Amino acid sequence: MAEYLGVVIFLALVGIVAGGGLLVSNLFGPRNPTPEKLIPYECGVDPVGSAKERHPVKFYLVAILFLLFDIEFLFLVILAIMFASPQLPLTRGLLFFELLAFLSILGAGFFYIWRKGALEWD
Amino acid sequence: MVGASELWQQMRYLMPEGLLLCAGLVILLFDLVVKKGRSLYPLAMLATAGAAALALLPLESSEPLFFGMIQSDAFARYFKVFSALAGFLVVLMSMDYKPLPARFVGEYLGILVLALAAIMLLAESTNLLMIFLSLEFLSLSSYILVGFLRNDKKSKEASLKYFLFGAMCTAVMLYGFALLYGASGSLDLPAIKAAFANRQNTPLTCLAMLFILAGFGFKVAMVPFHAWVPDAYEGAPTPITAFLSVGSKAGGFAVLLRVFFTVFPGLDYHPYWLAVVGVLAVFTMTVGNVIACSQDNLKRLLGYSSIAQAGYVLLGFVVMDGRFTQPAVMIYLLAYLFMNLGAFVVVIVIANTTGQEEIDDLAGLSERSPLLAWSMFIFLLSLAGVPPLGGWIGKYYIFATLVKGYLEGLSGGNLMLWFAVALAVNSVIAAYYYFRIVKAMFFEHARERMARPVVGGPLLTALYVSLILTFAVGLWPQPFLNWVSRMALPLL
Repeated sequence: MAEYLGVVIFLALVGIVAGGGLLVSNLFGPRNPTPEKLIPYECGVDPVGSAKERHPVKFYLVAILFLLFDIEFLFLVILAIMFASPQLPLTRGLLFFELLAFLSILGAGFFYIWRKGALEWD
Repeated sequence: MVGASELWQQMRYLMPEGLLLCAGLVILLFDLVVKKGRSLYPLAMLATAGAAALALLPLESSEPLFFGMIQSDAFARYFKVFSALAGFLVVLMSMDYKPLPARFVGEYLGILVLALAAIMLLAESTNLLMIFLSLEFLSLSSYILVGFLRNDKKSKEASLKYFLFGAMCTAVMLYGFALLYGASGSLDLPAIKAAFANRQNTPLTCLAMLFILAGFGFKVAMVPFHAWVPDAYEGAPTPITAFLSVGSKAGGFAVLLRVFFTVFPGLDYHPYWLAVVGVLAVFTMTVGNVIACSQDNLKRLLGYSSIAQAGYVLLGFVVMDGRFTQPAVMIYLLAYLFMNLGAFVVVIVIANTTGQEEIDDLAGLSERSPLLAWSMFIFLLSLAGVPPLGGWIGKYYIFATLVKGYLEGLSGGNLMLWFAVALAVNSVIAAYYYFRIVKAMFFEHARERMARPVVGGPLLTALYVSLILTFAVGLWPQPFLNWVSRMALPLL
């Protein structure tokens, strides 16, 4: 267990520094609030209404679909980097074929959601 | 470097799931063009039947394929045949299932076919990552299928409960995988086995084993991970209930067999394993059986009955001796496939006739439809384990496995004998609620104006296939037993 002593000391220090900072600024910090200072920070724009309201489920669908193509891009980048690697487990032609197969399955999915109207906002 | 010809060589072993994957995508795309979803049923039937035929081809390889991700051996081939066959029957059952909205048949069939491919992949994965991916593939398709009756509150609730429970169990299982990786330094099952060879059992591996058991136990409906079963079974469309109770359960048992038979023989695991799995199995069957006694809804009752059946099969794992355990588990699952699907066929017919699925709806069924009443009688007898039906062979082999374990003096043999006693006692409890249904069918009179059930062609086919094979496994078990022992995992 002795080798973990450093971690324990580190954790304790983290707690002291973080908690101490909050405590000290709370005790000794100057305080003159204005309405501008008290509103939630929304990238410098005044917030419109409360954040606790119901959102249309359409946002969720778009987010999920976006995620799908985001991850597709991730895979493509890895494949593109691997393409130049000398320790490729597959031959290059095969890798390119795999890439096309992957893209065509995703393309079929894209065609499907498009025709199903998942991309229409109204 | 793997070239095109070598890859093609390896692809041959994946023909059944390849066919199902392509068929699933094609069905989903056809759904965009075809006006009437019903015209997609023949396509799904063709795909599942074709996959079963391809899986029956003796294409096996004991070599690891695709960089050690997959091993398409005889054991995997058995579960491919199993899954395709179950899929074919479930498609037949869906054809005449009235509550299914006609608009969404394409999506339903597409996802169902993909879920079957997921079971096949699950049975042949030999890498923890691949196991996780196929398990999630199967789970995600199942969540959607369970919630398919969008206008039915129960179906939506079932889907959400199943999803939340599944997500939790998967997280625990992943933690177990991480611990296993930490203890062995590899994700490949053979490499993990090599790393554990002749090593002492450590708390780390015990914990990993337990966590992994949670994930797989969720799939096979093992107590204490069974809480989703009654609600999901009741809310889901009935063919999907049948699919969950047979297909995804078999997938869970397949991966359980492969992981625990590949990884753990190297460890000095036996006493822990015996106690943990044995006690959980006894709890599983007792909880399932006792609660089933007070159920009035047929789908809930069959749900609890399927928990109890999972307990019987789990007892086979107690012995952890490849000679006995695998054939016993595999023959039990085969018999269970036909008797359970058959019982669900009758439930679908009753629901189509009366609009609900209570035991009271079966009252006087022997007068209204003798064929249905007698078939249900046979399926229930088989589920209760009465000779000479399929369920009896399965139960006999589980029982014999335990007794053999005792007689051969394996460590913990006395405990095994007690587990066998628990199995016998539970069979008696189970008989009570199975015969409650029989009593309603044969000794109670139909309420007034109860319609005569009409059985259409597809349901009738599914009924006859299940009936014949339930009898066949019980009366001529030898060919099935020979086949099953040939398909077992090689002993290590």
